[in-house]
Amino acid sequence: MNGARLAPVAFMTEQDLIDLALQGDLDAFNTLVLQYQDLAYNVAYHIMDDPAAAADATQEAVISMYRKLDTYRGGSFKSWFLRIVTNACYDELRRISRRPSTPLEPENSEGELIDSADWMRDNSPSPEQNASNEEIQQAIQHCLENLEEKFRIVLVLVDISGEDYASVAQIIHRPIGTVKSRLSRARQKMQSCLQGFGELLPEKFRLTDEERS
Amino acid sequence: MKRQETLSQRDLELLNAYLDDALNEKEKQRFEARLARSLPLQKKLKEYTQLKVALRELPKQPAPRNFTLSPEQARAYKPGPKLYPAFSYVALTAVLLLAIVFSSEFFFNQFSTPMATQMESPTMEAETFAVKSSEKEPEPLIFTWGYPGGMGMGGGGGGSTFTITSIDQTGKGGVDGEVGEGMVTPTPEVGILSVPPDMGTGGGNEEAVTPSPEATPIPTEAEPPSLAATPASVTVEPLILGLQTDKTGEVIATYPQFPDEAASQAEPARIWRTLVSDKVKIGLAAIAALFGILALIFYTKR
Repeated sequence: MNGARLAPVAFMTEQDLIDLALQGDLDAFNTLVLQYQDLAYNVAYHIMDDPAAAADATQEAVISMYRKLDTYRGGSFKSWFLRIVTNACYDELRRISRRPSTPLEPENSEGELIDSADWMRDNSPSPEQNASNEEIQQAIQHCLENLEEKFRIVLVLVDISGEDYASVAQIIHRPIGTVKSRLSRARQKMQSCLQGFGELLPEKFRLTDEERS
Repeated sequence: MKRQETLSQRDLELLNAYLDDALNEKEKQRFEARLARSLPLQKKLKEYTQLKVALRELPKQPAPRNFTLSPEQARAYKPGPKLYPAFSYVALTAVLLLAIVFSSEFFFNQFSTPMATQMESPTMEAETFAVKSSEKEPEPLIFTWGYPGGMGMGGGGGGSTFTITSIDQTGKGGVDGEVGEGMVTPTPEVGILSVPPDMGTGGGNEEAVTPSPEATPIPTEAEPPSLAATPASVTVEPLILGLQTDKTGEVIATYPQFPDEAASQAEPARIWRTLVSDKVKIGLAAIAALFGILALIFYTKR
């Protein structure tokens, strides 16, 4: 539906779209959204580790972009938009931490605790599971989730989104030196976390006895 | 036995930068030279490379839906008027006005206060002069008039101009702050010599050098000192025992300025203080603070 309606602006350059959007052209603005929504959602998903929260953060980022478009002063539009996305993720994480939407111990309609609820399931891989790709991804996502926000965002932006240090510095609004040190710590923590999965990981992720010594 | 090399945080940062191709050519060559002879560095590089690849290979999460805005949403989220620039301009203007008020006040105080001080300093000098004169004068006590016919009686101004000293008679020095008008002088800056000891003399522009032993009681016409002496007061002329002609016209002290002049110069400061009261300053400060806070709030919410 949107594709047909946006056809006239579909082949415009990014700068043309931005100029039109600044003049109030909603089609041009929505074309920009379509170009970047997958990237935005992917980054939000890995930062939030929750599809619903990631969707909320992405929608907030789009609305925020619509309101702040006139503050865009050139440079990389992608970096500018990712900065809005990461800020939206921060806000969403703060909102979730203030008002946890999942009860700690689920109750039935009579107020009694439910014993074997799905929430009690351990998300970490069980020893019986094979070290398939899916399990590696689960392990990585688990370790990613346990990182502090500031380390997680840098790691997601560099290793998952593929941004360079300068762009990340612009997105998180910190010096490049901070990006380097956060990335270094993030990888150390990830490596340490993944080692905890031991035999579950494929051999390439495991340290040999020689390497451990 | 070779000691195990430990990697510092700086080493790990360099390793990460090497892995992410974020080193310049010189740094890269230097690091590669070190990497070639460091097993711990090689080990870490292997680990981090695997981690980086694994993170890159995580499946991309496509957006579950379109996040485009409908025309209704666009209307609802349309950015409102930018209030923070307006608020910040108002706050800035108030701060500037406040700065102008304070600097103007400082300016007026700086240039009007010394005037008021100068008004008093000649008096002090004159008093000193008078005391010294009375102490050192060995001559018989003779009062002379600097300007015969130009004298007057009464008048005040002891505090503002000269002070009668060494007087053991009933003469009146007038009231502080009053200005003797009986003295007729060619220029306002000149005060001249003495009067009979018993006379009610104005301190305005007169100087008692010493009291005279032969002084006669003051004629009744001289009492009380008149603030508005007229030429008729010349009737005291016979009382003058002598006239030091050689000192006629001698300048014994000068005023840098008359009080009226100083007062007229201090006038702008008074007018300024009347116009710009404390309420205005407080008002300006309140406006600056209020609009500054509003600008900050709107800036952070934009």
